[in-house]
Amino acid sequence: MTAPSTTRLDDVSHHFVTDEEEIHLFDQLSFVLNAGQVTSIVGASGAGKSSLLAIAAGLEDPKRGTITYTVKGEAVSSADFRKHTGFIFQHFHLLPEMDALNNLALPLRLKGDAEAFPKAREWLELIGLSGRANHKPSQLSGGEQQRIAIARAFISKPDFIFADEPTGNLDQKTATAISDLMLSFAKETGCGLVIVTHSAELAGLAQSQFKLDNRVLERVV
Amino acid sequence: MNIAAFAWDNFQSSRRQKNTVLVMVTQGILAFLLLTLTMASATIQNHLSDNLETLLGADVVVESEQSFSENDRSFLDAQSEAVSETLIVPITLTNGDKWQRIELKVVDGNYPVQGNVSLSESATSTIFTASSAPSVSEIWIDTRLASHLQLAVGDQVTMGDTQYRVGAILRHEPDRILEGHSIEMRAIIRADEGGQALNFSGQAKFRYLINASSDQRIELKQWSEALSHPVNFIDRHAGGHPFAAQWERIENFLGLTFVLLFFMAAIAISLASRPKLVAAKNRLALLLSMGLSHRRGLMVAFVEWLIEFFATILPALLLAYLAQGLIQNEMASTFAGIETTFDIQAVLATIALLFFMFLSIQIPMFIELSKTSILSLIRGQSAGREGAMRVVWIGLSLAALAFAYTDNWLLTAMVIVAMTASLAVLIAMSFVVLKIGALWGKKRSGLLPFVFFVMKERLMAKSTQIIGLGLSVTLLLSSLGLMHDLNNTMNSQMRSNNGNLYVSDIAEPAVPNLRDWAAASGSEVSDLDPFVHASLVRINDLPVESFATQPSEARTRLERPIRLSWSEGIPDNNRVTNGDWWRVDDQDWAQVSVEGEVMTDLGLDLGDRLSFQIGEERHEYRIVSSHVFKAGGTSTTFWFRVPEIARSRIAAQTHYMGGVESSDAGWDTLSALLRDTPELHVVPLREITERIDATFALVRKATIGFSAIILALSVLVIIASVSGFEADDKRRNGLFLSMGLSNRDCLRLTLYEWTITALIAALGSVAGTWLMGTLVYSEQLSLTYDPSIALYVSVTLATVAAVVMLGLVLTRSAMSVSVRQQLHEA
Repeated sequence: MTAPSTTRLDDVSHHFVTDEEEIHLFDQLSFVLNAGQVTSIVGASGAGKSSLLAIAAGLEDPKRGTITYTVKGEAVSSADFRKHTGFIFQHFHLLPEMDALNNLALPLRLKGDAEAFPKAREWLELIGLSGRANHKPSQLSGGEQQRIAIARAFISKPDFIFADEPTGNLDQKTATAISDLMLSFAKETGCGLVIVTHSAELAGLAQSQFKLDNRVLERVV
Repeated sequence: MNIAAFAWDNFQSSRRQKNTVLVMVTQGILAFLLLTLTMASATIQNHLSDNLETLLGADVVVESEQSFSENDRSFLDAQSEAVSETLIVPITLTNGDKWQRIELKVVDGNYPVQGNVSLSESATSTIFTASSAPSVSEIWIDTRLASHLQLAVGDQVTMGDTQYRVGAILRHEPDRILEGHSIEMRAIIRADEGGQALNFSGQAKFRYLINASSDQRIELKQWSEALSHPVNFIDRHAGGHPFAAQWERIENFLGLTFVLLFFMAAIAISLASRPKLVAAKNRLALLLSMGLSHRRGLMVAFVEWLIEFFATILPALLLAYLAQGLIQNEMASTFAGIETTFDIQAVLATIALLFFMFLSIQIPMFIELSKTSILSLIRGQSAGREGAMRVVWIGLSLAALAFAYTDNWLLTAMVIVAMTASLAVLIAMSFVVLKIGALWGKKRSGLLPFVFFVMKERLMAKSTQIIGLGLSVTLLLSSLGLMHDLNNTMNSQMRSNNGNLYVSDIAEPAVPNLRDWAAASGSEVSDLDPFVHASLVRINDLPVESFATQPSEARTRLERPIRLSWSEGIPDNNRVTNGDWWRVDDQDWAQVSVEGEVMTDLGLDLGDRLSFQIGEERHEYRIVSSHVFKAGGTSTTFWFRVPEIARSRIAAQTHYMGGVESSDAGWDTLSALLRDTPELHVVPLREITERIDATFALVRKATIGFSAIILALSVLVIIASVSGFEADDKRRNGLFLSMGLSNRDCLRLTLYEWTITALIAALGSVAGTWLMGTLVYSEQLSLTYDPSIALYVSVTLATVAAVVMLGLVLTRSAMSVSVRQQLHEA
């Protein structure tokens, strides 16, 4: 049995500089994210949750500390790690000029998958939007767009998916449906799902829960 | 709320943004060019009309290629207060071994009727005036002639059998304006009591300077229009400078080029305005959500545009004023004494035209803004039809510009058709290449198949970029290609001349003199082509200008006499392109073959009847064929040829023209020949070459200038086509990076995308240029279209390199920001 993929943060600190001051987000954080687990990070607005997510995903380098990425037990660089990750955004970020099917097929086409479109159709079926395959994002509701964005993140079977406020733009009912969708896909695919959210309800569904407050990351569950 | 203040604030915050700067610079270039043309034109027109007032030398001038009858002359005397007849003849003046072709004015005792002649003892001494003509045995020569022939006051010159004493150096004459802008050197002699001073058998022009009251001028005008042969009638009090029509044609041609430049500018402005529209819609939606009404919101947008317009126009106006000062200095040699004139009406009219043109491009934006609602902040902006609307409005503006300037609708239509065809080729190529590329890459892995996939999904956006780039390169290639082909044409004309001395005109009685000179000097006279001087006066019984209403080079040339020749069979250097040449034994003498370009310019067809005034007689011929030049044989192609049997019916002196290979001894004795035969017109090949070189230098200057402007606008189009989609590309690249694509791969993706875009644009433009050349060259410019592969390849490669490099630079700068920030910004 292969070792799970991991992201390990050791003594990570991060800040950003404005014209007038240096704003510290967090200091000396250490924790490990494992594939196969659902992890949530909550915190007040401006606490640095999204920055922490970006660092964990290998999109940004921390100002201090080290991050170690492994894919199936092998240490890799952040660039290589990103090839095994997916992202879900608060604002969906579907390409406006592509229809639902093409947006969904995008990561597979990027990897040169010859079966990109058949797979995309399967996933459209899974999320209940097979009838909207040729519709552009402007013709879809927010919930429908986010469902496509979620499917797009999972379709290439990544080791990790990082979700930045995935239900932040949705109403309660849709948010619940989206949350269920994400978690069921994570369970089925065995990927590590890391969710940054304001929603206590969504955070409560995770196996590991963290709270970022006053520059400190506290394990809740 | 103060709309103007709010709009001013918006302008201040947006004026440093890249796309706003692009739009303003593009508008500024176009405004600068058009305003410079307007101001220069106003200065020239004012100078010409001022000239007419002061330099006509009479109230009325009547010019004719033939002398008036006794009756006509009596009429002139009766309907005037004073009349002076001048005979203007081209002759050769000699002094020792030096000779010079000049324009000799043979005046009568009444000359001048208004003003005085300015003379001096030498080129640098004090000027004095004379109110009468030179004495019968005297000649006045101009300063350049005096310098060229090394003549001074008191020297003797011989013309034919008559000797003349150089009486004074001619500085200025009251009817100077009528020389137009001829560079020929001048001299004045006086006719003796019996009439002409010389036994001249060459082509002459008759000029009558007339002082007349307003009633008499009316009578004279009516009389001139009723004459059986065409005359040039100029009334000082009614305007109509001899050069005014020519300048108007130049102005119209330059204005027509603006149609092309405006087309390019419209592309650049449209591309750069895309992100501006998105931002404007967002801003307006937010303001609407804060309580601003739609009407006021649109007014703010319009006032902001107005501020941007004037921020462009005012600097352009200032620069144009400075530029026209420079142009004026260049033109001072042609228009002596020209002074700057600021015609406020003309300038305001041009600004109004620019206002309409630039507003037209932005009207689709205002229409889209009018549809903005607060809902767009909730649901996001939907794609409008602004792109399609822009195409319609740009088309309307182009039509207005063409209407304002063109005087040659055929050329305008051909250029527009050629550009439209180029556009169609570019659209077709975009669709075909991207669709086929996507199909090819569908089951393949790798970046290139992915690039085709993404490009095909963004077909509309990509097509816009490709079309913009493609049309710019088409215009650039066309103007560079034109220069190249003009060069070749002129060189080929030079190479086809026979001999080192060209006999332009020799009357039949003087031919033995020429042959004797050739025999004595060991020179060789090649075959001489015969002709008579003839004026085309009627086409199908209509005056020429009534039949051929479109201005053209041929119509302008036919205002002066042409050379009508004859032959049995088809000359070696001609080929028939339409109709049938007469058979050798054909007894029908009333046939004529017309040169192809002349047929097109005048709108002639087979069967049309041409009436020529030859000497005192009128002869009519029926067009039976059309011919063009063919390599081989001499370089002379006559515009009109009749059957050889027609010659016997023409009672006019035969003249000849042809090439001569002069020996060294021949050059030494040429001046003696010219002294004995002053009406003989010869031109050394060197002089022909110099004239061609001078003409070509002028054309090359103009073409280089035009190409430079096209190049500047092309660069703006390239920048606009990259930056106009920059936000979309940033967002897309951010997404790909988040999916695991490395920075390096992202750059490679950009490289492939821009290379494909630039290649389609470049190849499409080559096809468009070929279309342009085929349509326009032979029909309108009488040039053989001979595309230079090397030129096309080098411009194509340069375009691809420039577009790719710019795309990479912009992408790289966008990726230096972190992915998360990039997505946030997007």
